Amino acid sequence: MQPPAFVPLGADGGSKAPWHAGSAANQIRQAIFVGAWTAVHDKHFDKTLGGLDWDGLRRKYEPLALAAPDEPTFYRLLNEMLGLLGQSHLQVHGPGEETAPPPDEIPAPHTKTAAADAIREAGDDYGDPGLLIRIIEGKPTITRVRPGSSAAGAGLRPGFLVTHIGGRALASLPPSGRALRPVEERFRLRQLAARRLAGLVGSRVSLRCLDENDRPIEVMLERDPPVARAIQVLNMSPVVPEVTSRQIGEVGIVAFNVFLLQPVLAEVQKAIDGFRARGDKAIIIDLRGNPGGIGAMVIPLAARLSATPLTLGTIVYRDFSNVLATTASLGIKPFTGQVIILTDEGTASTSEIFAAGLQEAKRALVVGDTTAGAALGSIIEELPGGAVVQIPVADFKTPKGMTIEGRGVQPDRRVFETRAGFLAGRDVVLDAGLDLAKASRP
Amino acid sequence: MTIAVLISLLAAAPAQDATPLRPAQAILADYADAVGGREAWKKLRGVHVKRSLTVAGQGANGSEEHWATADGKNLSVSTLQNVGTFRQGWDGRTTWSQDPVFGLRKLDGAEAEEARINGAWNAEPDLASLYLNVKSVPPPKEATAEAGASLECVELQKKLGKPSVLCFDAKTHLRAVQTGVQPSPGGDIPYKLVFGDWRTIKGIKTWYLEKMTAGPTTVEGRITSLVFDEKIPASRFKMPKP
Repeated sequence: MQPPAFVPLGADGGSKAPWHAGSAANQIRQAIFVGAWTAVHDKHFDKTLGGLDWDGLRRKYEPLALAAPDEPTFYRLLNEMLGLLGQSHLQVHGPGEETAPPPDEIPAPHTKTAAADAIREAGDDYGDPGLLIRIIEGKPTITRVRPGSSAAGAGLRPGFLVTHIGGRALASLPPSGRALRPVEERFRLRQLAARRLAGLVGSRVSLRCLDENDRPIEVMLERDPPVARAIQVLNMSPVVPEVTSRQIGEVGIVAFNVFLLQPVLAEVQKAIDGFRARGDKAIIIDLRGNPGGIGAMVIPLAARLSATPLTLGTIVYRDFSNVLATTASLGIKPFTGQVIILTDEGTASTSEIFAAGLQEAKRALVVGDTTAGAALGSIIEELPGGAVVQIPVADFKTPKGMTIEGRGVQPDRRVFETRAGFLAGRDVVLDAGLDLAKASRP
Repeated sequence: MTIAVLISLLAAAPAQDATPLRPAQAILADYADAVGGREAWKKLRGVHVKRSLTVAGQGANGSEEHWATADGKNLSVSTLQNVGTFRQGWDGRTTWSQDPVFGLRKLDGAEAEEARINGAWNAEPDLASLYLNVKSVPPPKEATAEAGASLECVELQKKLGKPSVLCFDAKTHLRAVQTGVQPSPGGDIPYKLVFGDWRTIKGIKTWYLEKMTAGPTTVEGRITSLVFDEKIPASRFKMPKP
């Protein structure tokens, strides 16, 4: 990704701002605005757009956005307009949308783009210091530290509270495009923290925390290389796919961080086949923090878990519907024991469709927390100037007609995570899943 | 806006009555001539086509290869980068498909019928033979919106599944737009095909550009290589073992 094409202040005509009417910067802004507005108008699954006066909103927001004093404001206004639809999978991103990185963020020597573009930067030169930050009991908390990572080397541990990343307070999030539900706020902070932690390999970012005794500590963390090659599919943010599997007693556990037909599906299927061959009586599928991905993966995955055809729900497009139904595939032996799915606020989109479908079909029990409630089919289209717009092009309904968007999947067994639990090194959600699995009949 | 809609309705209504539709057989006969005629097609013994695939505006691309021989065997292999590989073919006995979503399957019903039509050997100059019934119909609005020329359209009724409508450029008689549904395990998926960039090879005229729109997504397929009568081993078409 090249740096933003916007000209610097004063560079295109004396004292005029770069966004004055007719300037190159203004034309790019207008193309982005109109492109996003039109894409939603033409492709949103709901032709009525919730009854909103879409033309009227353009008349209101276009002049405001084009006259915005800077790019963060331009994108905020554009996302505010999209946010009036009150849905997930509806946003615009582009060069310059975030404010400049703070002074205590030290770039790698070969910096080539702004850190704000990290989310859209495909390649192997982006990494992170190896920790996961989530809201636990209302506070940003480290919940996982990757062994051998910079974070581990700095002595960070699950249960530490995080107050600042890169000198910026985590408590003060930039405004969102729409009012968010509490679970969405938690999901958003998780994503924002991950974005702030990510950057060019070798660059550094500061972290201010409270340790297990609430003593303030500050560390400078180096961003480690990714553990595997990043993949970008269909304009989604680049992701380093991770699939892990293990066994505890007679329970197989498989976790994966994204739904992809390549290479994730084959690895997950291999793990499930291994559990079946070993005679495990239950499988735990850990979808915590899995934000979704390629929706079609739910079909082959569900097919691996049922001896009879399953219907997971219906994808409702603008002009037609398609049922997510498994079919008998030649040469496949499904696992027929108990299935337990672990969820949290970061379980979103395709993960929710999978969990909801199996839960309603009574093929799986869901354990953990309510999911994000962001279950719409979407595409991400390119706009001028390096921007992209994500458009919800399909709704999802369970076989009983339930909508997951805005509601989330409600767990069969809700488990509350605590800071004390993390400090004690416990995974209470997994423990609850294992308890259920052990209680299952062979 | 309301006036524009009213005008368009007034303009469209008498046009259908004023222009009688030509018989479907005549439209298809003109197409057969336009693509080189039956005799030119009959000389062919096999074809091997390579296409590039681009998912418009969504940052994905891929490739496709298609092999077919005069005995009717055929195989298509489509790969989308970081998504997966989709295969479909007929080995002389079975219509089959293999993909990461539904795995390896023997196709039946409307899916098999669609595959039979898509894979039929050199059907272009004799399209009517593939279908149960053909009849001329007015251009559907999805087709007229795409075409820059006047169209003549034929409804093609399959043995199974919903009919498709194939529209030809009334001047050149070449394929212009096709609408229909692709049967799938999850239900019918409406699609629209737009054809372009016609070229002549060995006296055969064929389209090098095909844009397929299904729902919100358009995939552009462009032929990068087309070889007639290449030697293709029969093993190429064998259904994979489960």
